[in-house]
Amino acid sequence: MIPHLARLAFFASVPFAAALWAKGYVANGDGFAAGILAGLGAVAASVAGRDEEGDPAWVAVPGARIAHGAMVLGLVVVLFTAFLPTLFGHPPVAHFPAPGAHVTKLGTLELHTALIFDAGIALLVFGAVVRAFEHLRHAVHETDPKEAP
Amino acid sequence: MEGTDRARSVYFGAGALGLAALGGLVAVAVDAPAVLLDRPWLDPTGSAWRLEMTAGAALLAVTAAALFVLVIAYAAAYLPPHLEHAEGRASGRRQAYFVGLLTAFMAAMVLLALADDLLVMFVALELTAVLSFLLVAYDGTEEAKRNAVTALLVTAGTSLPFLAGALLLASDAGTTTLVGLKDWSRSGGEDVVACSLIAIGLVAKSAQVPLHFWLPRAMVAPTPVSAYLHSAALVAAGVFVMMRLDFLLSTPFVATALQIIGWTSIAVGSARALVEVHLKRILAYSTIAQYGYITVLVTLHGPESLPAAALYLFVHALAKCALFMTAGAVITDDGHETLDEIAPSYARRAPLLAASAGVACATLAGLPLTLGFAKDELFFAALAEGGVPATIGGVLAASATLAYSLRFFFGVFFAPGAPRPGRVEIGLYLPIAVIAVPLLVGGVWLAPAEQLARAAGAAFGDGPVEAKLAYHFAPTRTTMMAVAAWVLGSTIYRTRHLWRRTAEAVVGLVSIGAIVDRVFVEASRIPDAIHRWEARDLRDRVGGIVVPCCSLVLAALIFARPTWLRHVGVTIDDAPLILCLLCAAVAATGAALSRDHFSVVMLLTFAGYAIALAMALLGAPDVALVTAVVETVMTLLLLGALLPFRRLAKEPPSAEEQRRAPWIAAFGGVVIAAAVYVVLSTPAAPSIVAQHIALAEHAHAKDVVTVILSDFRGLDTAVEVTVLVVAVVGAVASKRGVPS
Repeated sequence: MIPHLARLAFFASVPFAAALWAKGYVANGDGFAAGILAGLGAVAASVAGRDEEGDPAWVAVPGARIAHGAMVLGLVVVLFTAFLPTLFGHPPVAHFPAPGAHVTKLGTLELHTALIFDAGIALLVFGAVVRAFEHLRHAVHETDPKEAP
Repeated sequence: MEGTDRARSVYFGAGALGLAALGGLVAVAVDAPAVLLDRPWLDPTGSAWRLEMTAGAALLAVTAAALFVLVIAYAAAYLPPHLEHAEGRASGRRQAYFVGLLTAFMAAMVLLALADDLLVMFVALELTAVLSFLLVAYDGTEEAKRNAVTALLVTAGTSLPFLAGALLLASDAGTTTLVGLKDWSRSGGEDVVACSLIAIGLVAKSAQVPLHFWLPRAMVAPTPVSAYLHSAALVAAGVFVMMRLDFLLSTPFVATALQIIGWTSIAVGSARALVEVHLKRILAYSTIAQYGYITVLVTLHGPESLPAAALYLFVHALAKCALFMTAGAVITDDGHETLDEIAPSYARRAPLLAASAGVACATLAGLPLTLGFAKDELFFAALAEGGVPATIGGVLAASATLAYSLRFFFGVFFAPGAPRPGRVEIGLYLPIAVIAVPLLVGGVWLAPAEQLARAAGAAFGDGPVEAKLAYHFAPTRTTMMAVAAWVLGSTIYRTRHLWRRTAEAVVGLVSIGAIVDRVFVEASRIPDAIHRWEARDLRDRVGGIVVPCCSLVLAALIFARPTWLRHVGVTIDDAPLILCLLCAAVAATGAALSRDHFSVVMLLTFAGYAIALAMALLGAPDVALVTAVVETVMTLLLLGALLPFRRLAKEPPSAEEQRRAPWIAAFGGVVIAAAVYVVLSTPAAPSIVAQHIALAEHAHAKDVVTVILSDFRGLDTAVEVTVLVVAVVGAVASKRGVPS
């Protein structure tokens, strides 16, 4: 029961994380919070898992397969958003629409390059958390399977 | 089969991309000079993303694109058997990775060729250094990784002096564009320190003595890498930039230093190439010597020197690329890597390969009816203007080139004995034969080479240029120099049995690479000793960080002269907050005293949650939320890290540790507490807070914390997350590297 609930909690954490990311510019929240929340959901689903015999065990973290890619993609997005403006004579991390310019809105969501930057942060943090935990999980099992809770 | 098809499509795609790039570059080069891009960049330095196609830029860009296509074709035949031999199977993914890196390298070279700004050049040079590191380490052996790191340290490390020199020039001239710097230089501007720093970076890139030792070690890379990077691309980049910056490097001090380096590189490279037996290392030492020629030519400043340097760069790139591919073909087919082990009479086993390699060797040696004759003709003409010592040096250098070219060619293809049956895979020598065609045509029809040299020389320099190419049947000065070099070179080769052992002994005595290794080993003894003393276990390591950091904070507190013991009003309303902080303090103290890992983690987590609650009470829900989530994740990560160990330390701490640890903890605790007290009790500068709030509106944001992180201090965030990725990747990779 608990493993299923934990897995469900992970899937529920993703829209929450997306909401934290999307409303970061108009309310509390940001890419880091979004990434760490989604990462926590994934890690919790692993910790609450059970092995094939039904005993408590740290199972594979959901999203572990894409964690490395998410981390690298997030870094690329962050660096791209940060340094692309320099090619056009703007300082690093200059966001658009520029101050004073009109911002297109979808409801309360403001279409702004800072959102892309924050999306990169979210992906990167999620990937880093899941990658690190998956690595430690393997280390625990390799050291002594009986030591894993 | 599917994997093979996929790999083929990767080679085909990269080849098509290379051909498209080549076509585009040629189309643009027809209208040279043409400014392709000119956008301001990094205001304070006056730099610009300025890309310009000139005859000089076309020389390198077109060569890089054309050789890329041939190297890709060669790699398609070379890499599958290489991977099968090294890894047991020719994985399509590994081949795609290789081709991707090589394609990125070609793009970086084109960027460098077109760059008309020092900082853009720096970016392109760094890209080439990092990609070169990945390509040299491609095979993943310990030797490959070690030598790749050496190459990276030398080529990327010396980019820092280049960058420092560029920034100094930016401060002097107010710009880093070559156009702006030329104007500044014409108006009398000069900065010897800046130019020297730039020259250091370029000397290392072009593998010139004493920063040459990385190149022979980089021969551990797969042959297509050597054929492309170590003949026509990476090492050519250094001398190419020297030619572009000819107007800057002409100050007497820098020019003299470069000339000495160039002649020394010729001597060291030639001597080593004459005694080396490893096929690829012969060519590597030859490259060091050949780029020494170009370094010398750049410093001569005669009307023929820059045209000669430009043509030399072009011809050497073609010939050396062909010779590296020859070495790779023979090594792949024969399985041996040294002249002493190669099977006999290889010319009979691979006649077209032998003929093509013969053309490339003759070109390198400057023999008539090859394009090499043209390069040597201009080389001799430029040196003849430099006086008697330069003339004699040029003849000796060319004779050494002929001698090691003959040794390589006859050693590989005409070793006495019966040949092995069978044929060499056609894909391994067809690209070499393709390169041999222009080398032969250019040796018969000299006019295109003459035009190329004149146009590129004029593009690189400011002064008048001269380049006349023709076969003289009368005893002119250049003809006499060429004939003297051929006679002397043939004699050196013919008498090799007389001098070989002595030369090996002499060369073995002075190995700059060995000296550098020794210096590294000796220099690392001191930090190693400090490390052993300081970091015996985890507690000592933490102490080694806490003590210096807290000392710096204490110094800042003392010198900043804050208002100590500022009164902070506390009312009953603050009780929940104080309670949270007390809980955190008690939990942290408990964690310090506990020796059970589970208790430590739980107490630290408790302290973290208490801090999160305090943040919420202070009216910072963002920070409180993130703190709580981070604490939870950190708890799980800490448990994962510590669970393999039943206790924090297997052995009780020593008496010395027991004495030292409380003092370190108390020092750290008191200093941090003082710093926190001073910071929190000092009202924040109202201007900053008000500005953040006001500017948040301008940045289209309503949440100040978010806009600070992603906009106002976005650059900090970008760097911090980069560090996070590097840390995670490093931790995972270091664990993989530790034997179980």
